[in-house]
Amino acid sequence: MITIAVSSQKGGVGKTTVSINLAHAFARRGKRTLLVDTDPQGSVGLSLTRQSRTLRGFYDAIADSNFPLQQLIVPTRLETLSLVPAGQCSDYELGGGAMGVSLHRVRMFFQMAASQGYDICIIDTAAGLFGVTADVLSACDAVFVPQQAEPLGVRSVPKMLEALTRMRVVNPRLNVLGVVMTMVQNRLAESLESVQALRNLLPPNMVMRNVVPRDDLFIRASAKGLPVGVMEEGAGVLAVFDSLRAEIEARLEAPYE
Amino acid sequence: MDPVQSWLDANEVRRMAESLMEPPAKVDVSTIDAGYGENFEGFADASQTEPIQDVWSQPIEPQIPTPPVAPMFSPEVHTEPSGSIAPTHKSPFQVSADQWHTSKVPVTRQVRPAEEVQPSVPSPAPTPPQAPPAPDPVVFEKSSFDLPEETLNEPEVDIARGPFLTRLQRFSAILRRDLNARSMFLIDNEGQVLLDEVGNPKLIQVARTLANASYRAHRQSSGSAAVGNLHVKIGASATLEVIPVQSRYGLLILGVIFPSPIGVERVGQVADLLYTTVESTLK
Repeated sequence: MITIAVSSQKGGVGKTTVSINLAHAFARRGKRTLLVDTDPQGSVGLSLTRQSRTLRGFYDAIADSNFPLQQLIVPTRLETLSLVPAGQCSDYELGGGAMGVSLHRVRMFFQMAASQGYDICIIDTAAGLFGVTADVLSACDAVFVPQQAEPLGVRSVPKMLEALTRMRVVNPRLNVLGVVMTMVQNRLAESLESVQALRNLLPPNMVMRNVVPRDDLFIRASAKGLPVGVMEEGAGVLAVFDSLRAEIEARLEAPYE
Repeated sequence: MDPVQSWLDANEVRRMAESLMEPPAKVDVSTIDAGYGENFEGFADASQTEPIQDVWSQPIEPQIPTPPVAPMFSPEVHTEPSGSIAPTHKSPFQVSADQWHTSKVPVTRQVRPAEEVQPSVPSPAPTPPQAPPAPDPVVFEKSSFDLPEETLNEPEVDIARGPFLTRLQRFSAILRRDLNARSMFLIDNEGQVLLDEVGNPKLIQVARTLANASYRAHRQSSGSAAVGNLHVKIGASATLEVIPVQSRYGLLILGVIFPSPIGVERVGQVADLLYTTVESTLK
């Protein structure tokens, strides 16, 4: 099983949207996919299931390593896609937790998921690369970084790179899959300039060719509790995430090229 | 004006990004950190842990010395409850009252051979010397691990013979010869220095704190938590191994500086050797 964390230093850049739709794209491809919500805000659960506030999830497994994973997994209508909501995690929600405290439990969680036969595990994380998110990154195979296509988002890139560099010290095998530009607005010059600025700034192999557009469809999909790809008008976005999925698969097969 | 590049150091950003997109440098892990196995759950959050009380910093009632009318050593010494740190024999290293609770740890304490068999306080009515009874076989809990094939070389001189300090010095020499140890210190359960080749009171304090915390956890868990393999990296190529050994004198804490952690098997061997060195006092 390959574990991919979807993380960013900055909040509100579309991590949950990318996580949900990327997981959906992998599942449509036939990969047994587990989407795990490690954001205490529980955005994945809030996006996809009405019972998310009462479901047990990731933080319950972190609090009790003997908690059976099978009881945490929520199946979806797509047979190959399952999700684990954030769960009831008031302690972590309130205290934030310190890096290293839950690392062993996170590893155990991934081991349990792997033993269930999943091919890929996509982890939606909270903003910032510290606390439990740092533990997740310490235990993951790869990290994928959404970056909002606006000047402020791009200016935060150095902080994100510094944090990832620190994470690579802790987890040297962490494969940085790259940065994907999100909320790209083709009719807004500043948005397009930001995309171009990031491409000029970073090595070509660090920025994904595909970008995620800002689209009202994401809001409508969220309102219905669905990945955008299953919406009637969602064919375009579905194609974007399928291309993104293909890019990621290529980087997993041949990292550092 | 560039909305992005004028806000950051592009060269620095590119350098960081390029390093992230390169394969990580291979780290040569030559020594497995035996102290942290697969079940290591990470460090406790300091805000959630109770402060550790130093059990040895409690006030100590003055003791009235009594003449040694009975043998100093009896087999019951090894039948005490697991985890107890109370000594069943007086330390051969008696200290004067003004040495209790001194914040400054003496660098070296010289030991005279006579101190080993007689208390330092003169007996008011000395009794005729008695031959110590033949001690029963020592019931010593062996370490649970199997010793590796490569074990410490047998000392050329019987480590169990001779004055205590001489034996400790032989013990130290064996560590230097066979395990590349640099220096060591040994303190007893009252914090008194029995031998100090390091000359660093802070390291001694670190060793006491580690051993204290480990034994407290051991006792609080009714023995289910093992007294761990305790070591601290104190320099680029220097690791302090802290090896608590329960003896008839109570808990002895050995601190040895090695170039790198020696692993749990070696720690067990060193503990066994120290135990032999210390426990043979009355042979």
